Amino acid sequence: MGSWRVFRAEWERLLFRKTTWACALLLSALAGGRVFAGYLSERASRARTIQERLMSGADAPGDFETIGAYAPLVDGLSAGLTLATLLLLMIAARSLAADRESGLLRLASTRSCSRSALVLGRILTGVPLVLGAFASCFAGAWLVAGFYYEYGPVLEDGYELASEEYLLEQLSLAAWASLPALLSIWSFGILISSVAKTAAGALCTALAIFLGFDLFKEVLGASHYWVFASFAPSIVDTSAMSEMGGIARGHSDAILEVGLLRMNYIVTGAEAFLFVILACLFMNRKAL
Amino acid sequence: MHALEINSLSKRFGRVHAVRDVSLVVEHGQIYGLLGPNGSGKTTTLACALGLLRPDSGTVRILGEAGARIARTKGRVAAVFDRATLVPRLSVLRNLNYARSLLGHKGGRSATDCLRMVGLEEHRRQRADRLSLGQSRRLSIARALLGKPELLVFDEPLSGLDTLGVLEMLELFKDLHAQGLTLLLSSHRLHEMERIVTHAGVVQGGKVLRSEPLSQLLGLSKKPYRLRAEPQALVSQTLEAVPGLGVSLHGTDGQWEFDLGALNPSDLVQALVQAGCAVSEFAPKVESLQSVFESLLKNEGARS
Repeated sequence: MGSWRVFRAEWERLLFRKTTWACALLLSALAGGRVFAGYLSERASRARTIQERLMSGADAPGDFETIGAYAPLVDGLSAGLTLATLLLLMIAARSLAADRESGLLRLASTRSCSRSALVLGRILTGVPLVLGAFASCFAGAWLVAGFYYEYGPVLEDGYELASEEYLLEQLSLAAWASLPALLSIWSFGILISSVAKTAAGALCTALAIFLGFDLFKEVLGASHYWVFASFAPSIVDTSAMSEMGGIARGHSDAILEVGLLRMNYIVTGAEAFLFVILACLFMNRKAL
Repeated sequence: MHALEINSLSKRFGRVHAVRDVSLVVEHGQIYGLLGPNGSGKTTTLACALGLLRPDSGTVRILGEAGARIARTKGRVAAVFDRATLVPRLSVLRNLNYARSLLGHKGGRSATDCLRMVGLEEHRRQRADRLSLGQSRRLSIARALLGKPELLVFDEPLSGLDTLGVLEMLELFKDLHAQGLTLLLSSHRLHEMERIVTHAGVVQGGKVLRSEPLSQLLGLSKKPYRLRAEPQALVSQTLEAVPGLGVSLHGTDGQWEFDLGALNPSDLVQALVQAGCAVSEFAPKVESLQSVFESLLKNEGARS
């Protein structure tokens, strides 16, 4: 009950903050902007091809093969989710630490909220935030991709490389794989927040660890998949959404491996659970 | 059941002994002042009582629950800290709604009631970070009043307030007390606290030197009087001859201080005048909390 109360209070607090809505808009704009940038780049590439052909005395090509809307949609979604990962991490890392700094945790704990409830309530707050972030990115990318491209199968020289049903199925698999990864990122941020003394310290620590791992994860080879952060969309992306980009372009070697997907769910779920337990333990031991 | 019961509480921060073997009891209906200078251990004592700090030894029971399990009091305890602890970008009303969601209990005082009680009704739509210090403090109190608190704990409620702010705050405390709430206030402002507390615990160096009703602490059950009269020899002689006069203290410069006990003041003045003494001053000696505190410190210093 205590966790539910904390969740409700936190959710209301987030809803009434302009920053929350600004973040949602930013995610949509970034996802849509990425699609638009891809479209501009494609148009520029076509113009260059036409110019080169004309300068060499050949006829301009009459028609170009279109890639369909799913590839730009995935690109936009990936870009949006990369920013969403960082935003979620920052919001989570700030969460408890900032409230400890301002004394709000003292208030909450003296008003019938246990310390574990303070952690669990904030973990719960992550669920609608993750869903909201995903929805914002998807909406932005889907609208802009639909405006400039046509949703349909992936074609090459008239042959269907991937049907629309297959693409939708793979896209939903990639999306479902991203959500627990984002939740584990949120839990990691809450863990850092429960340990850190200040909000600034929590923010810097969380970002340093996450980005540090992101930049060096390839050094670890395949074993980096034992770390939750490998499955979250990021700058050096190794998540399911990155593979989905290849599938949406009809790359024959692109595939969402069942083993890796299973690992995605298990590793992110187990590590998120561990982070929650640790956050509760730290919270119960720390002075408020 | 006491509102708050602290037994042999001790807390160290590294080498610093912040609280040493503190014991005190706050009963329902009291305004208890935990009074002492900065760094004397008041805030640490309160933090341990509210379960915010884990004491090294000793026990705390707050409304019958252990301090660490304050959540079980289900909102019957509310604390107001020296920092305002508001959500800065939310409006006054939304700050209260946030606290209400955390509290979770239905019934009791509504947000509007609480704002009315602290005189912030007109500022309900104002952002919390645009309030003055006094208004922020009032909002914190309004938030504490949500629901049905029985015990209100205030840590340095007067710090940073101007004279008018202090007077308003003292009036507010009186009103809250009149409504049946138990108040526990920690403060270093003895002079102001003296005007409202019913009981006081004097704290110094992490120890409670005395914890008593204010009247007892100030010696108001006795009747200390100050007399200035001449000639000294005649006055001494007359005072010694008066039956029932408490212990007489022979002062310097023609000044005496004594406990009048059951004696009528006018009878004593009459006896002195009849004996031929010239009385220039005869008045009850009013002890202040500050002077009590100073004498307690002196005694403590002499003892150690």
